[in-house]
Amino acid sequence: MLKLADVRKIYRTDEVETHALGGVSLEVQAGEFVAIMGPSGCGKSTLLNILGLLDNPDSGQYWFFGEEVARHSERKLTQLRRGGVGFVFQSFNLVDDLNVRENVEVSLLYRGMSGGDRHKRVAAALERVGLAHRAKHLPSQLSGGQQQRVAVARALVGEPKLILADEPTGNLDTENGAAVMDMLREINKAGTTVIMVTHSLAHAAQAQRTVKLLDGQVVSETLLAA
Amino acid sequence: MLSNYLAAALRNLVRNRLYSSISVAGLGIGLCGALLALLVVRNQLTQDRFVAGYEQLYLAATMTRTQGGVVDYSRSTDGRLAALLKERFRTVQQTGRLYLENGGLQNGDNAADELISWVDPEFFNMARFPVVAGDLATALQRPDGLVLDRHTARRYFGRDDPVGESLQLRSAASRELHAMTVTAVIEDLPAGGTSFQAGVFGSGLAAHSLLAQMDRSSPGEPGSNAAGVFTYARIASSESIPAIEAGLSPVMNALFKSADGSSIALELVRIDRLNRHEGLTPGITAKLALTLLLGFIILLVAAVNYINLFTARADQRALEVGIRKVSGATNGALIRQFLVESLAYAALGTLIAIAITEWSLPYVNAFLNAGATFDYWREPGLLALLVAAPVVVAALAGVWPALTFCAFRPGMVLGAARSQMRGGGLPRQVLVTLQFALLIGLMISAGVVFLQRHFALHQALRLNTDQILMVWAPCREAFLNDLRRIPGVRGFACGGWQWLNEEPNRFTARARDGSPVNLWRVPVDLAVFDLYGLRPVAGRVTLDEAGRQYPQDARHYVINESAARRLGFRTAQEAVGQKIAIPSVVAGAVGGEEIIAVIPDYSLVSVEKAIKPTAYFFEPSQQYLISVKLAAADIPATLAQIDRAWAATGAKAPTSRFFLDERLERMYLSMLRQAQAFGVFAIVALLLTAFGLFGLAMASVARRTREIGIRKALGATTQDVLRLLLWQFGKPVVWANLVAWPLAGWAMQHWLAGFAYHIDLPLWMFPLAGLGALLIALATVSAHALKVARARPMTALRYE
Repeated sequence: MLKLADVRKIYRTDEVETHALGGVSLEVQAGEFVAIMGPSGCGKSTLLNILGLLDNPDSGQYWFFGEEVARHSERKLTQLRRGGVGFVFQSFNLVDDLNVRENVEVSLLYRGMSGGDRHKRVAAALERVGLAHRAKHLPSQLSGGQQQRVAVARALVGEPKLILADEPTGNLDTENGAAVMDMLREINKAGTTVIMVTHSLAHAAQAQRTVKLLDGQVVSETLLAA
Repeated sequence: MLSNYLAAALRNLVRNRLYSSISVAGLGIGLCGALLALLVVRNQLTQDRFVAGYEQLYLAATMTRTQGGVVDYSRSTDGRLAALLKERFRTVQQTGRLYLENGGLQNGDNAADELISWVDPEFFNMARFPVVAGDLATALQRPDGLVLDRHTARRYFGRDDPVGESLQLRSAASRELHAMTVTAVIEDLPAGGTSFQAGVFGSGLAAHSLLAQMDRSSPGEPGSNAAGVFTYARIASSESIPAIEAGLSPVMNALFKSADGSSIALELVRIDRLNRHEGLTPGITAKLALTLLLGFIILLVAAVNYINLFTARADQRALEVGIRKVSGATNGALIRQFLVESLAYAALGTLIAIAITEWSLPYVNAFLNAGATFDYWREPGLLALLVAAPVVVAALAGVWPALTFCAFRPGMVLGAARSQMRGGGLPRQVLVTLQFALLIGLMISAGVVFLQRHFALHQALRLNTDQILMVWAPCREAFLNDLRRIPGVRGFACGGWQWLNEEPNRFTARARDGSPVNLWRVPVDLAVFDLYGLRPVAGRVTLDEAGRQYPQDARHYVINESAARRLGFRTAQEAVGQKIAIPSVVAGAVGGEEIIAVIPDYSLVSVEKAIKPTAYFFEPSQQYLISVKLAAADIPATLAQIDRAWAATGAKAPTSRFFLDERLERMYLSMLRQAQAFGVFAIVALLLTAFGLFGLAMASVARRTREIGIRKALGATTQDVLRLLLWQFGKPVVWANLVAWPLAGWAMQHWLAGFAYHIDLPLWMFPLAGLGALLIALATVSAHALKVARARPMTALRYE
């Protein structure tokens, strides 16, 4: 279970203070599929960074599957992230210089897993997203939809407890968007917690719950019949 | 895991071929520069190691401290020292003397001048040279024994093993021929790798050898304590050396019987350390340090290129870093990854460096007259260095980019603002400034060095050496009369070998205030000054205006301006007619009594050194060198006539002669080469800096494309954008001047002060070098800047 209690985050430059999150409290049950919506600049990405252990809140508390992590060091967060969290981004964020197989493998690299095990799990993940035959291709040789499927494979290959998807369909056409949503739902059904930021009402409707954010605060939560 | 790192690194390298080649080739050139500097310096520090057992072989050097406080080191010692060493000290196992003679060899018609090393019969038992043929241990036990090196053997016999063959040897002084027998052949002395000057060794047992002549003469006679002998000793333990030096110095002083109050001390120098002995080779430490510094600067410039190009494209790698961090990579793992990547670059650079070094070393050796070797497959130490070099370079050049990358926050780099990643903008500016400071400094230094050399070669020489032929011959009247009759001979004058300032004798005179002053002594005909176009600054070298000569004795002598100053005269005029007594070197002969003229300072030896205060005497017994001024027309015919005149004296050996101009050119060659080497280093640094800047401009323009699009969309003209981009690269160059000027000025002022005659620091060179660097920088980046500045804003914006 994930739990945020009065989490605040302020970005400061010399002259400007931006209140990205102004006291967010939120609970996400293990195995839940949550969609986060809100206009640009409302704090969605900041929230996702904190949920994904990429950043610490300035104040408040965050329980990551029962462990209070708000004051954890960078090193500890890295250890928790390793295998605990998978990410899917709007712009895919595949490494240009690595081929499909190697891109997916990056998720397993820092876990002390043997080369053979990594290989098997990468193959299985690529099989799962239907791209096993593209394993040796470079990202530049794939379509946008295919690239996002590689990104999904990279997120799920580590069998994380939590997958965070930041507008995963934002750069895709309807058909490819639907395919990615299908995959996320499937992963969620297998027991993985999924939190997704999206602008699409249709895609948000596929989640079990929608959280709306405005100016760094949760303004509404809608439970949907999944 | 490593394969995943390497895949990313190698594909990135290939994808960015241009950046990669600038980085790798730059590192290669930088490492090559450092390596060459290191090899040349090592060559200087490891002379004579081809002699087996060099670790126990020492040369006795003499340190003379005059009353005037001058400390003078000499490689030669009193001829009697060798026997004393062996007799008095148990740890001295063997000693051997070596005495050089400008002689010649002759096999039938095949004749040439050769430098002969006369050595004691046991010499090769002590100094074990590599043998090609014959038995070196017994080779010089017979009086006619002669040892040749391989190429001399080939020159006279056309083969490597002429053991048992006969060869005529011509002595310098008497010019008589003596039959010698080749008893052994040794390997060629390593060019540029030895302090031994000649590869022809004659047995000191030969009655005509200089060693035997010296041993025969009774004490007090000229030549009896000849101070031109090199004394070598094999000493079992280096711990006994201080005791030997301390024990012998008083004995040496007793032998030396200084007339002028100077004292001498003995210093035993291991033979492989002769060339790094600051006393024996003045300025060597500074010279070697400068060589290393130049090599290091080149490497530094290359490393800066690497760092800058790596970090300037940080945005390209930021995503990879972000993804790896998100996947749980720790900073340590990422630093390791980027260090491994740097190591790959540095290893490639090292391979290139090895290739360039292999290819260029023969040219470098020929250029610097050095004997640097690069046998890394045979030298574990060198091999270890080549393995360590990329590791060290990767660690130094890779650490900063690695840290820059690790500092990226994944949340930031994976978001939309990736193209704004700067990746160490300020440090990069600082590094570029440093690069240009080094470049400007090198340009100023090279310019000053070049001007000073030019000055030294053209203005500081002060002698007219055109068509002057030097003939090694005793000044006998019959030969001189023949010379007079040759139409192509305009004039001639006799002198001692000291005329060429090789190692003039020194003595102490009393200055006007009675204090002791060290002067150098050169035996000459007083006619020599006219022959060389040296007009006295005061007084006359002839008895009267009509040109009548002074009586031929040493009573009336000439000094140079330095001597006049040293003796305490305010003007040259004041010195003329003064009676300052000077002892004769020849026992019982008349010494100098009166100064008749002061000539300008001149030097036929290194212009780097201060011209020594010198007195010029008539001393017929010392005159073996005739300067002959030739008419410009038909020189070959004149030379043939001189050779015939020489043959008519009854000498069997051919004339030994050379043109002074050629000798001077050879002598200045090494100095000129130093200046040229400086220039080469500066040009290499310039190219590296320019290439680095070119890559940086490309990276920067790519990064700023969006900004440029926005600026243009908002109304900026092409000129506005161009100015913006050029200023970005011009700025570090302007700052670099602030660093470079004072440092280069200080260093060059210091360097010039080491010359007796030097130019003033050319201040105009500073802005010129700065302007040059700025123009180079702008020219390098202008193509890119112009291309981007002229692009339509939509193109620039769509780039995202």
